[in-house]
Amino acid sequence: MGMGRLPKQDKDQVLNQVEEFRIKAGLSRNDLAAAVDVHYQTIGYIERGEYAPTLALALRLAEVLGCSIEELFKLKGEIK
Amino acid sequence: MSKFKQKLAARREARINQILNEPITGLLAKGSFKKALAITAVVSSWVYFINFLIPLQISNLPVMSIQGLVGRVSMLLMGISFLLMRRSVRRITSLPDKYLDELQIENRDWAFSMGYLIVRRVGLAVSIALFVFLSAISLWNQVYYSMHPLGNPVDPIAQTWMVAFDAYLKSFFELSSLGSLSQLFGLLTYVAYSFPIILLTWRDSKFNEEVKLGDVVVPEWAAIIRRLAKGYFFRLKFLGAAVALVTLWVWLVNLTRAWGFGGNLFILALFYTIGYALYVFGWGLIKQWYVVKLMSTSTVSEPARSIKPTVYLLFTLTSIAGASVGLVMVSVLFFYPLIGSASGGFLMYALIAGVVTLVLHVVAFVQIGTIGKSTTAVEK
Repeated sequence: MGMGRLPKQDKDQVLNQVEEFRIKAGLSRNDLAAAVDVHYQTIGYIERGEYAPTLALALRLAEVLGCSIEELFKLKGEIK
Repeated sequence: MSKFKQKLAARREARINQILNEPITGLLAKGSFKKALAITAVVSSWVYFINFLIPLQISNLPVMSIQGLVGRVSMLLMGISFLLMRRSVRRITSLPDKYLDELQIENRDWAFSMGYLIVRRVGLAVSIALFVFLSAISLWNQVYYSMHPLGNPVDPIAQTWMVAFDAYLKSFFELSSLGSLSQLFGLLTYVAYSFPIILLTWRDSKFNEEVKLGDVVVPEWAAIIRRLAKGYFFRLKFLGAAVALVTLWVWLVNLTRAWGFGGNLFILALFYTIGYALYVFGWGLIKQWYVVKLMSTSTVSEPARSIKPTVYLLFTLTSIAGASVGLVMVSVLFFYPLIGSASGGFLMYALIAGVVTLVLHVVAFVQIGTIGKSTTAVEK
């Protein structure tokens, strides 16, 4: 059973590049979690695609990782 | 705000601080261990339920003793797994929303609502099954009666089945109605309480990254160990009061010569007191180990860390002394026919070793309390 925020339709699945941007920024999961004020497990869930964050958290992640929200998150349906 | 409310608010605040300052580390933070706990809770509660459904074989003593053992062991496993699961996810279940992030809040809400939905559906399914069963029997009898209007209004075969089923249900309450009802309500309460925690622990177990105490910052370590020492002595005082009450009771029983009722109550009180003493010992041992691990973290100041070998030595000695008491008691219990007259000596050893264990524990916690009071935390 998926989490409440995970979409039912496959094309609505949110893919992300949080791990790639985090490594590029030289941050550990703990560092990133502290910077955006969430538990470090939550970063793990997001990176594995098991949780799609709220818009507020997504914006905070983009700000800390120095990229745009569109670079960080994409809908599966958008990728051809 | 009334004094009572103020006290409650202060207690809640202290609890929140305790949870925030005592991160879950080691085994309890390990995904595979959390999975094992969730599985143990589910399997042991099913074993307990199935064991309950098998009528007690009063005429077959060996089978009856196995049934009793299975019941006690599964109940113990249910209790231990629940307490450990509760501890492993207590940040999520016990902290207010402001201390949790959005995923933790979502997981918590999901577990409690899903737990409620599943328990509700199981209850409905059991009710429907009973309703269908009774309706089928009634329909069967009506068909039988329409076919044999002059005979017995109830089909003899259905009658036999109903009588057998009724006798089976009655058999649960043959030995002790109160005991069976308590078991049933206890199991229902356990399911209602543990089910959301099982779901939450299972979900949390997906994160298979073990957290070591050294990886997390514990800024309030001095306050934590002060609280641990205070907690130990609070429990010890409570145990002392229980022992004093049991002793007083024996004295009163001897004085009034009310052996029957007084003796039964004494055995019950003694049983609970021994159980509580075992809990205090186990609790103390776990906390001693926690302090040993805490002393290894870089957050703890240098003078406090230098005391680690002594704390570790006291932990080892207490464990050995406690284990020897346990081993002797278990040996006397299981091998009494072989030990026979020598059991008095064994019990004397257990008594002396028990006092030594208690003294070692007290010394260890006095020292732990002293470290907490005399040092200040050094931020990482």
